[in-house]
Amino acid sequence: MAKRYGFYIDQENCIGCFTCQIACKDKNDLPDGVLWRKVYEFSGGTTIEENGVFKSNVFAYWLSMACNHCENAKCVTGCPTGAMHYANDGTVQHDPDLCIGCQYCRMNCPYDAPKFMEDKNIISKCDACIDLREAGKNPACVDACLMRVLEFGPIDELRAKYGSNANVKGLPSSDITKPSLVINPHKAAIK
Amino acid sequence: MEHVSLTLFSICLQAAIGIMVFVTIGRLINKDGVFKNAMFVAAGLGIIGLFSSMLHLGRPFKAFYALNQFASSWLSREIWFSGLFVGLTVLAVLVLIIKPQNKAIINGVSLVASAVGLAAIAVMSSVFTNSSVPFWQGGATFVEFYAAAISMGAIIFLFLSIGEAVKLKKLVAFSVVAAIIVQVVAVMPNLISLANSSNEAIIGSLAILNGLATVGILKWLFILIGAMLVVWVAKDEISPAMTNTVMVSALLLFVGQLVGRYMFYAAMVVGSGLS
Amino acid sequence: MLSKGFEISRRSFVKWSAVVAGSSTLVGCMPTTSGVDSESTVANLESRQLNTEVKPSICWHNCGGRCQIKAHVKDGVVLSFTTDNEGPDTPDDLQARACLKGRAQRQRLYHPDRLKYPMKRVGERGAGKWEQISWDEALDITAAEIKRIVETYGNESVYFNYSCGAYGLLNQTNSNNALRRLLNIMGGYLQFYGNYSQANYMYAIPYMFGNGYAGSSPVTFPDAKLLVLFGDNPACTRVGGFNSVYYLKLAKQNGTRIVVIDPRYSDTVGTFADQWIPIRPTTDSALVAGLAYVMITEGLHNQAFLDKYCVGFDEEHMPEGIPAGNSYKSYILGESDGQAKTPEWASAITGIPVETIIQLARDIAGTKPCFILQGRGIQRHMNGEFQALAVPMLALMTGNLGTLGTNPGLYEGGPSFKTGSYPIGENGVSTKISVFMWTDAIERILTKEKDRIQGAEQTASTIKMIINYGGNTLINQHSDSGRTARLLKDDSKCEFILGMDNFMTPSTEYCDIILPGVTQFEVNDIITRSMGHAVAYYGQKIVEPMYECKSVNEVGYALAERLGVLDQFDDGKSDEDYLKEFVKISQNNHPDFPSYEEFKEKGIYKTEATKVIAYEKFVQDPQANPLPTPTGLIEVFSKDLYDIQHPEIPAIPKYMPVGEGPQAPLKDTYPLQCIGHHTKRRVHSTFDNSSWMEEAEPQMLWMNPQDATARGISDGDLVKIYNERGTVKVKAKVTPRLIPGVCSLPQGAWYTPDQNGVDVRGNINTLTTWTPTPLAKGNPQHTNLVEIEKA
Repeated sequence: MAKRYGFYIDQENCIGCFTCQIACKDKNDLPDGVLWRKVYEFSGGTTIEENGVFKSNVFAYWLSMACNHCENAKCVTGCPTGAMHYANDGTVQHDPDLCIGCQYCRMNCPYDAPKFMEDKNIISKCDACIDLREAGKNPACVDACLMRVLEFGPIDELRAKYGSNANVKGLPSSDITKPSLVINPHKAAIK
Repeated sequence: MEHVSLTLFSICLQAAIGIMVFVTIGRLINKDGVFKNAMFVAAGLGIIGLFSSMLHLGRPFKAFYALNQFASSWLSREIWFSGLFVGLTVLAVLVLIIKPQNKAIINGVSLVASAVGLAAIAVMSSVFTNSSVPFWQGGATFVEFYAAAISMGAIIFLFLSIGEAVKLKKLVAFSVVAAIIVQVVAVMPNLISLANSSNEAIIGSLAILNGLATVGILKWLFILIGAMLVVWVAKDEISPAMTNTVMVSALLLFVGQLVGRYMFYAAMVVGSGLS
Repeated sequence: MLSKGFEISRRSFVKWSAVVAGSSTLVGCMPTTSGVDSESTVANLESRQLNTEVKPSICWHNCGGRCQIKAHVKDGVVLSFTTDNEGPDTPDDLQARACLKGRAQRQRLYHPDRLKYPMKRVGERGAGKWEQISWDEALDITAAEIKRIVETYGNESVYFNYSCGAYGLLNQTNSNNALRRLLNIMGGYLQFYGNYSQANYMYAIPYMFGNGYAGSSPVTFPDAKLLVLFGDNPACTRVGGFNSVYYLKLAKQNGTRIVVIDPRYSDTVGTFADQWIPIRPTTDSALVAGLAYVMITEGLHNQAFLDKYCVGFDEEHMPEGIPAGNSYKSYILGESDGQAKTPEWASAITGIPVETIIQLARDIAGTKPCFILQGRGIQRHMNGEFQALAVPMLALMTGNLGTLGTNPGLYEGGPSFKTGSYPIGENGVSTKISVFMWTDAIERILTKEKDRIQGAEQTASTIKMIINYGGNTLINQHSDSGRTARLLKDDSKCEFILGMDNFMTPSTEYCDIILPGVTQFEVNDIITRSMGHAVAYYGQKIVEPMYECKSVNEVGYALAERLGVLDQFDDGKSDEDYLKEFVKISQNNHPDFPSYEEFKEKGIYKTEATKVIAYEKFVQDPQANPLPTPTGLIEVFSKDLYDIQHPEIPAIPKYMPVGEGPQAPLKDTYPLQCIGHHTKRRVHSTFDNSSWMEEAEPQMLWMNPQDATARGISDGDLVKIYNERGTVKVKAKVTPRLIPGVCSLPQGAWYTPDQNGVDVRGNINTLTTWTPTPLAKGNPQHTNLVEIEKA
């Protein structure tokens, strides 16, 4: 089996600063409404005032998501044209020339990674900065991260280093697509 | 717009498949029956359906690329099966026009078209049950698609061939009622069980459906009244009044399934509800 | 489609289109291949970072960081920005990575709303009617107005408004710049003291610590066992560069327990806090008093430390001539006012459960070392001086001072970095007003007695001319934007306002002449900052000035020429000559500082991560290293404050209830406290017009589900927030991340009144007051009572 690459997210220490999202946006020159990497806020619990004092069990955490370059990428198997495909390094890549804009990949990806570009009428998505990696660099989001909670690398190595968890509250089960993703969950996000 | 084109595609194609199934049965039972109108309409609906499917594409002129991935993609298979069905139906119509006396070929092509069509419905359902939209997953999608094909196909067939289809009246009524009963029995409990789901995507889908509640009521009202009208006409002799009733029934079932299908697509929430 | 709801940009763009109509040449300057409004590329076609020329640049706005950003340039167009990625990026040798704002600079540089040429107001001030004029005409008018106003009303009628848009050493909006140099040559101008960030803190803290200001460096966070943050949210305000928030992570990983006291469950709380203690705004000093009560009554306080280093804690250590009952301890035990500051008393005010207060007191007293840190939020209140002064009491009472892992309840500090500054000469006017009182100074003569002006008994003139260079305080960031707009609309009061900016902001809208200024990408400049490390960055000129934009130095020269003072103004030095001088000073102070050429090429110099321990020398030997207070010790009781004899100005850090606080009678009409927290998406008002930022964090009013439900409001609903001063219409974010009774409208959104004067963008200052704080005469912009209803 070919080597697979993926992201590690230390969600426990992510402050939701959006720097990865903006670095991606700038590097890939994405139009408004299109985010290849997107930071989500999750919060819950209650904060109430009772008998004049505050009681709270609130929690909040962040999740930075891009394409997880899944082992069982449903966007790839579902794509009728072959536009969505595996590259030699196991990352999932998208060929704009083959894309007919059917958006079936958007119905297949549980991580909302493929985005429809209204100006081009086709899909686009995170390519894990294939250009930078070919030049021996990290993806833009990784080198942008202020808290150093994003890494990219061979997923086997990331799993050896950080374990194999890819499930947190708010994400679908990793059984669906086997994402090349490792997450150190925030304490409130542990599934 | 995306939902509208997908709705038109699947409803038109399924109606066409249903019609061709009954045309095939009709030509076998009524050896003198031609069912020309029904065949023409089936071919027309099929073509409209295929055309509609292209409207939701960002690049419709490259639609043929969708044939590339038969081996892996349910969507690609759907295009193959749908295209094949429409092609065979058009072929049957062409033979009917050119050599109407060659019944065996027409019957044979119709039979194959129906079989491909019925398979196409399974493939169409699989496109959605294999997606990452939890609301679409599960058997209810198959039931919705087949029930729509059978109920619409049967009643439209009857309406278009009222003279030739007398013998088939009871079969049509039985098919419609059976299809609708199965649709109600399979879909309603499924909706109720989904209401207890903690899956965020399901919750999101149900919230969308909730916003379309009026449309939902219309769907079931139209479908149920349409089915009841069929039962009512099944016991009567042919008359102009009955023709009108069949027309109303066909309209109700078609519109009911159509708006229901629109809701099906509109309720799309992927995976965990991330967006 | 987030951007489609972004009305500011659309509105001003429409206006711009009207102005620009008929001058296609200017629009033609816009690079069409790169701007954010240009067609986007699809991935893989062409890398926007590889095979580009990489030039060091800077992010220079007024946040808690300063950062290097690197421009990737092709054919004279910036395709994207990256940041510092040199070195090992270990905790000891960290990269100075820029935050989301630095990474969005391309949207500023190529924003379609950039000011493109000088303009002259043609309608009523603030009415938005403009005429394009030449640079010559703009400079002629400005020079004539400077001359006329100085001659008619004197130099003291000319005011430089607080402006913090750019912090280059040459392009410096808030202090040493060419316009100030020019005005000094002309005889000077009215000055201000303080700032909008921390006016109350910086005025009050010296009463306790002498000229003390900052505490221990964030590099020492992990050395603490317990970290207590009062209203500090570094996860939003101290992100870029090697900033506090990174060291919070290290502290957490090192096992440091982190407690955050804040009305909001901030991003800092969510990620780092072991305990969130929600508190009503304006009551931090009451919490401190309650904690002090527990410490004193349970004997947990460090009496020996207080005896040795402090004045005024108890009756035994008071300055001479002060009547009995004025010590801090007397106040806490209720001996002076009959009210013991028990946990029950504090709980009723703060909303914090009694048992939480008792436990926190024991935790702080029982955990060593304990790092007590305050943010700037708690002092931006009507009682802000005493909020600021109260927090250090916890460090003093527990002896957490001068050793590794401690902090005296002040802001975080850092190693110093030395460099030069642009010479502006001597100001002939010594009068200084509080930075927050310039609107009053337009309306009336300010006095030393009433308004605490410095350097004179009273102002010699009202303000007749304002220079507003790179700032949005003229309307947006000053309190009561509606009232300020009405004041400025009357051009018989302030007769001339010069604006220079990158954009048509709410403030430039109220200028008479607008000059289009360059961004940092169109000039060479240097910025410096002290955080975990001390840093200096060189920002190279990346692109030619856009449109007709000019730098402040160019404007200074042109005006000096017109005013006939070019001889004095021009010292024969180019911009680069100045920068070389500044670098020379840095080289003299920092032996490892590179050559000018190397610095310009690399663009970054940083010291090692430095563990600064606040007041280390003083604690080691207070006699040899006395503080610059009257007694040389830490003054818990300040005789200077006592001598003011003002009912709202206590000599010890008391809890002072405020007129728009949680216990105020006005709550019957306006039941909610409204604060305006800082977000990561803006630096004050900078970046409000960035669609990328709006996509990240749309402007919304935070409110608790309890308050929302009571008003029939759901998440995402459009709501109306109002009080006597104004009304804001904005969408609500209904979230348990904020206590009931409090709402928060993130500060910095651009004031956008509709035809009824209702701000539709969400500017907090629509609701804030001109009334200054009693001692510092500073801004109390978090102290507001409001009501909310569904719009």
